[in-house]
Amino acid sequence: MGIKKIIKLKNIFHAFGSRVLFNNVNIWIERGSFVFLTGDSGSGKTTLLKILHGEISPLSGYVSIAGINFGPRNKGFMHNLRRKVTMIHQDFILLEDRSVEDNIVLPLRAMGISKTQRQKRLDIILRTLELTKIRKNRCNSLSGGEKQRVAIARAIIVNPLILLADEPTGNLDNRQTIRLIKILRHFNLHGTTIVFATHNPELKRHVENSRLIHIINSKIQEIG
Amino acid sequence: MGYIGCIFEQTLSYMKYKKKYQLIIILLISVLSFLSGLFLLIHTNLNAYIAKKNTGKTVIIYWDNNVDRSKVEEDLKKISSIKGVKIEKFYTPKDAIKILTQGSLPLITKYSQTNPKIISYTSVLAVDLKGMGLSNLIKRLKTYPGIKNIYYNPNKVDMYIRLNHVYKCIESVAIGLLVIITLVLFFLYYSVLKLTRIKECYILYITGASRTFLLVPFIFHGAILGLISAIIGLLFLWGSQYYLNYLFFTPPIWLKMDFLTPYGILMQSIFTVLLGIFGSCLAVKDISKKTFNKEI
Repeated sequence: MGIKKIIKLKNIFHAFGSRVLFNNVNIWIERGSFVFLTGDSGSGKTTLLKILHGEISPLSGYVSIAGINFGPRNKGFMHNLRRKVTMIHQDFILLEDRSVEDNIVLPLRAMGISKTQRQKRLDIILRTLELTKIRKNRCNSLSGGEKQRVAIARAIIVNPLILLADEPTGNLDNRQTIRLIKILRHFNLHGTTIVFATHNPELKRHVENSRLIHIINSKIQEIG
Repeated sequence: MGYIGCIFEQTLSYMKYKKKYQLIIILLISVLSFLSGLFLLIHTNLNAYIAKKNTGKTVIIYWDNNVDRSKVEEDLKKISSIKGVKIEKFYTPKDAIKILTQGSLPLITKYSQTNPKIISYTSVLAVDLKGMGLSNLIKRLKTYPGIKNIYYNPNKVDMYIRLNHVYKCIESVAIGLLVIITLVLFFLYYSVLKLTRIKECYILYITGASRTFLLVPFIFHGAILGLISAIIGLLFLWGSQYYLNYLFFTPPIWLKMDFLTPYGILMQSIFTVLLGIFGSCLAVKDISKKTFNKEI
């Protein structure tokens, strides 16, 4: 790919009605880095992740993710971006009436990957995230932690360049949180850039050489 | 092949899950298919019935005694070229004498009652003209100088016009009702479809599905639902045809309901499948508009 700065946001302005979320925000994230994104509730963490995922277009400013510049001309090709940039949503967004494996392979099917290839990747992911035993279970019978791992598996299975995680530790205990960070760190060490939105800035100490970006009063503060 | 295979897999996946909702959708489109089929069935059969009532009209023409045979033949040639008019019989004055002297009593009675000149060139026309066609034909025949008298039954013309008028009124009301019912059922179908697929479409969208992958399986799914509904609708229609025959094939109506022709069945099935596809397209477009930033 050869892109050192995989995420570039320049002079971003975004607001919902009269409520300004981002005012002249600039963010640069290098490839392979692990970035924690913190801020109070309603500060705009999810919105920023959705901007990075191409789900929301900022009202003004320049956005370039993995070499793809956002703009009206690229609107029809945004699916290419979402194959490189995946997101773990706060509420997982799983198909509750489908099995674990059906949920995980969905993005691969959308990419047109053959059944054999899908099966190979699925087996590896299920082993990595310890989901093999429940692979046939329907998602509506899973616990919160299991659902979270399914959501992670779905995001990871496409080998993304960037993984956006929206408060994935929201309903996990301390032990599960550390385990999740270890899993994400594992993929990070294999080259995936991770942007991890959380309330808890303390999590940074579990990941060496990570960055922490704080959103406060519609601005970005680089803490470390 | 991989990508096409995945599209088919996705279509099958739509078929596999949320079966209760799919049954509701099939029920809705089947009702639509049945109603439109019933309209087509009644329309075709009633039209045929009215047309049948309109056939078999007879017009008898009598030429003047002084007219030459060549002139009569010239007139006959012109008359036979009129669409819907067939020369059934032609009598010369000699034939007329023969009928009057040797013919059966009913024929003699009819002939003598309708022919004021008794012995003249006479032609019996079998006429199959709709609406005002017969009146126009009479007007046209009256312009021929050699023709002295024309006999026909004006009641038949009136009856056809009356029947046709009543039928057209009923047909307009039926079309109006059908359009309203179609719109209501179609809206329900599209709403149920949208409700059941919105989450899956959103997940596909956020996981990198292209617009083709989002649209095509949805369209296939709609087409399959439409096809199943068309078959169910036609089966119900087939049953209704028996009931309608039981209802109307009695005196004094004697209206026999024939089932749709193969062409009618094909048109009916295509209509239902298109309805399914159109509903799917509309649903996915609406989902796109509300959730995907209008990318599809």
